[in-house]
This record gives sequence, C-alpha cells and structure tokens, in this order.
Amino acid sequence: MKLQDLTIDQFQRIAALELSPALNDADKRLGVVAIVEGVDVAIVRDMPAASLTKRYKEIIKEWNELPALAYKRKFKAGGKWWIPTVFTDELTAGQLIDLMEMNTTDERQLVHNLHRIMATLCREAGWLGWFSKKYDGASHAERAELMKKHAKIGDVWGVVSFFC
Amino acid sequence: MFGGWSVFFAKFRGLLANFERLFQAPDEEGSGPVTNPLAGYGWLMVVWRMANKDVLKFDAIFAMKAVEFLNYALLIHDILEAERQEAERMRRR
Repeated sequence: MKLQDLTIDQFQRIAALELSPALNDADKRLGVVAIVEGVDVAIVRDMPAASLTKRYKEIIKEWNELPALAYKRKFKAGGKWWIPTVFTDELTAGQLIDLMEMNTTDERQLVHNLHRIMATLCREAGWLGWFSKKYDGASHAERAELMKKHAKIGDVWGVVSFFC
Repeated sequence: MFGGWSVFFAKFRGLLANFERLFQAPDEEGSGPVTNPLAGYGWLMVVWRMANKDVLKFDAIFAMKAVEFLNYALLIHDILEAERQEAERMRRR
C-alpha cells in the first residue's frame, strides 16, 4: 500500500510511533511497516532485515514526497464528496469557532487533531461534488469520525500543501 | 515533517492577530480592570449576544464570514468595555 492511500487514522498511528520518545529506531521501523502494510507486527518481525529496511526507506521517501501532492478541489471519503476550505477568508464563523476550540499549537497536536481539523475545514458537497452545502457544526463529531476512518492522507495533504 | 500544516495555522493565527484586542487575557490579579469582557463569555455567548438572544438567528451567524464575525465580536467587545467603564465611573461617583 502507498503512503498516500492510508487513512487519517493510520497516519496518526504512524506519527505517534515516529514522534514517540520511548521507542527506538528498530521498534519504529517495525511499527511503521506493519501499519502501512496492514499486517501484524509479528509478521514484520519475521521479515529479513534487509527487506524491512528497504521497505521502511521507501515509506520515508513517500513521506517526504507528501508536500508535493497536488491540491484537490474536492475528494471522496465515506461515499460522500467533500470540498475543503483553502483560504482563511473563506472560513465561516462556525468553522472559525470550531477551529479556535482545537489545540493547534504544535505538530503533535495538529496530527492528533487532524480528523477534527478536516471535519471543520471540509463541507459536504452536493450532487457530484459540484457545490458545497452549508457548514454543519452540529454533526462535527460524526464528520470527524468519518474523516478518521475513510479520508485518505493523499487527499488531505494536498489541501494543506496548497498553502505552501 | 508536518511543515504544510504549520503554514496553514500560521495564516490562521495571522488572521486572529488582526483582532488581538479580542484575545487579550483578562487581568490575572482579579482586582484590576477586566481587559477582555469577552473572556468570561465564551464564543457561544458572543453568538448569543450577536443574535440579540434569538436562537433562530444562530444559523445565520454561524454562516457569516469569519472576518465579518470577528469584526462584530470586536464591536461587542468595545460596547461591553464602554459599559464597564461607564459603570465604573458611576460607582466612583
């Protein structure tokens, strides 16, 4: 599986491993490969060291290429089309209030809240993703859960890279 | 590794920085003047006041542009501050 096809949930678990001060490099390598391949750590532990290192290096290369991903005006997740807000002057008051209530002060918190942030920035789209519906603050938690389980990091990262 | 996000939130914080008077922390001693009357309110109460206590107007306020909303919030902040100063003046008399 390619890194950009991972869900936000898988990405958050990888980030938690990578940013963990308690794990050593070998443990991180095992965990990251297991998450990306969608297999048990025990299976990865049985891999030859050379192929494990090779796979890990491929993942890191893909990770470094994430900022180069093209921005998508709309994307599909959980069977629905979503349109992200990409300019701060396009934010509505509802989105602003939800964003201000999140801790976005450091990278760890940003990744930890990624699904909530995307649930705030993205509005459900109407027919074939042609127009965005009104921002619905009441279903924020439900939308965040959908983003966590179904939104692909490749679709999400493009939104962020748009600002670079 | 999460550089892109930092850029977005730098822009977001830049937007909020234009309204820094809204985000001044209240006086820590508790005895001095309250520098931010909105601090004790919370954002929902700001919306409540903006809607003139009419919950049917909440949706319209949530759909406003963020900048427009912050401008109105700043206006409410200034009105509350003026009311507080007036009350303080009356108390001293």
